[in-house]
Amino acid sequence: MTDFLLVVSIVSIWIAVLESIIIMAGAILFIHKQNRQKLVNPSNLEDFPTVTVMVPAHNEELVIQATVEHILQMNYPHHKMQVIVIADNCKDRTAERLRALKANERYQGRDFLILERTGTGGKSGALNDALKQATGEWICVYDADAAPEKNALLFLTQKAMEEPERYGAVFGRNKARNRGRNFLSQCINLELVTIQRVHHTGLWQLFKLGTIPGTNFIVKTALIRDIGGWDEQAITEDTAISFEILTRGQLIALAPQAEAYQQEPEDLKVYMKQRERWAKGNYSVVTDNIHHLFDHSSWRIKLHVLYYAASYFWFMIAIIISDIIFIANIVYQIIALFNPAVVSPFQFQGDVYVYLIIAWALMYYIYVLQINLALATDIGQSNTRNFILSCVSYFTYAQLFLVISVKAFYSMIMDKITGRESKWYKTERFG
Amino acid sequence: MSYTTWFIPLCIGVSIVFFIVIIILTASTLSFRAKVKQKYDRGRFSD
Repeated sequence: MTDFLLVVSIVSIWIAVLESIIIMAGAILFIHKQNRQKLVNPSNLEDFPTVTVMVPAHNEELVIQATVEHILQMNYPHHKMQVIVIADNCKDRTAERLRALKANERYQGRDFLILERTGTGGKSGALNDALKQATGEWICVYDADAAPEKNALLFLTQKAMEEPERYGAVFGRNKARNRGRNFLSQCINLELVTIQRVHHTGLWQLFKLGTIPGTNFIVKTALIRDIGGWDEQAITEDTAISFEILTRGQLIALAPQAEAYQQEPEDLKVYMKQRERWAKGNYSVVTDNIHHLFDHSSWRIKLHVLYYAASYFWFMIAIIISDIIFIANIVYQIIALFNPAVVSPFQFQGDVYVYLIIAWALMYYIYVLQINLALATDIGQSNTRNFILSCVSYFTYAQLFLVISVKAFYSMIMDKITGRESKWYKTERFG
Repeated sequence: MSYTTWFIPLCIGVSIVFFIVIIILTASTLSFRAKVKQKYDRGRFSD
C-alpha cells in the first residue's frame, strides 16, 4: 500500500511539473510575441463601444472615493461611459462620500449613478441590480479598492474589438498596490505577478483560455443578460461566470496592457478568510462543472475543468501524501538515532524514495523559475530581495495553500452534510 | 516481479527529460531578463 501511495505521488508530481513546463513555455512564447508588437494608442475613439462601469461597494468608506475618481478620470470618451456605483447594505459613510463626489463640479454632466441597495446576494446581488440600469454595450467591473490605470478600459475594449464576435469577455492585469507592506503582502505580490504573467499568458497563448478575475474586466451586456446575470449562490462568482461564457462558445481574452492596482490583505487572518472563500468557491465550481469532462463539451471547457480539478483536488492530495511520507521519514530517522529499533511505517522497495525527492526538487525549481520569469517581465521587480523571497516563499507562504485547501474542503463537506448555506465574506480593507 | 524493475528506469528517463527542459527554460528566462535589464536599466550612464 505504501509503495502504491509513493508511486501515485511521484506520477502526480510529474504531471504537475509537466503542466508547469507547458504553461511556462506558453508564457515565454507570449512574452516574445508581445515584445515584437508595438503598443498602439488609438487617436479616434468614436468607433469604440459604450461601456457601463459597475463598482459594487459594501462599507467601503476608506477607499471608495479614490476608486471612483480613478474610474471617472480614465481615458475613455465620457459620452460612451456610464458609471454605476452600488452602495450595497452600507452601514458606514460610503454613500455619503459618493454623493459628495457626484456634487463635485468636475464631474457634472457625467453619467454617474449611485445605487443604494439593501437587498441580498452580496457582490452578485449588487451587480445584478446594477445590470438592470446598465445602458452600455459592454459591462466593466471594478472592485471598490481598484485603481485602474488611465488607459485600462481603453485597452480592454481595444482587445474586444479585435474579434467582437468571438470574445465574450476581456480581462486585464491586477497589481498589488501595497506589495511592500509586510512579508505577507510581498508573498501575495509574487503570487499575483506569477499567476498574471505566467499562468494567464501561457494559457491564453497556447489554448486561448482565460478566466475572469473579480475586477478589471469587461463582458458583453447581451451575453451576461443571456446567462441570467451573476450567480447569487456562487461564492466565487467570477469563476462561475467564466464557465458560463465558455459553455456558450465565447472566449475570455487577455488584454495584458490593461492594468489596475488593488489592495491585498496585510493581515494573516484576513488573508486566510479570503482564500478559504476562494478555495471553497472553486471547489463548488469544479464539482458543478465536472460533468463537462464526460459530455460533448468542447475540448477547451474540458481542459479548463481539468486544470481546476487538478489544481484543487488531484495535485493537492498528491502533495499532502508526499509531504506526510517525507516528514514521517525525517521524524523516524531522527528517532532512530536514539532508538535504532524504531522503524518508519513508510518502507519502500529499492531506491524509489529517492525519485520522490528528485520529483519534489524539480517542482521546487520550476516554482522558483516561474516566479522569476514573471518578475523579469515586470520592470523594477526582478531584484535580489524578490529572488530570495521566491526561494523562501515555497516553504512558508505556499504551504498555507495546503492548510487553506484542507480547511475549505472540510467546510464544504460540512455545508453539504448540514445543509448550511455558504456565506460571502467581504475582504477587509486597510486605510 | 517487483514494480521497481520498470518504475525506476521510467523515473530516470522522466527526470532526465525534465532536467533538459528546465535547463532550456532557465536559459530563456535569463536571456529575457538580460534583454529587459539592458533596455530599461536607467541606473547606468552613457558617455
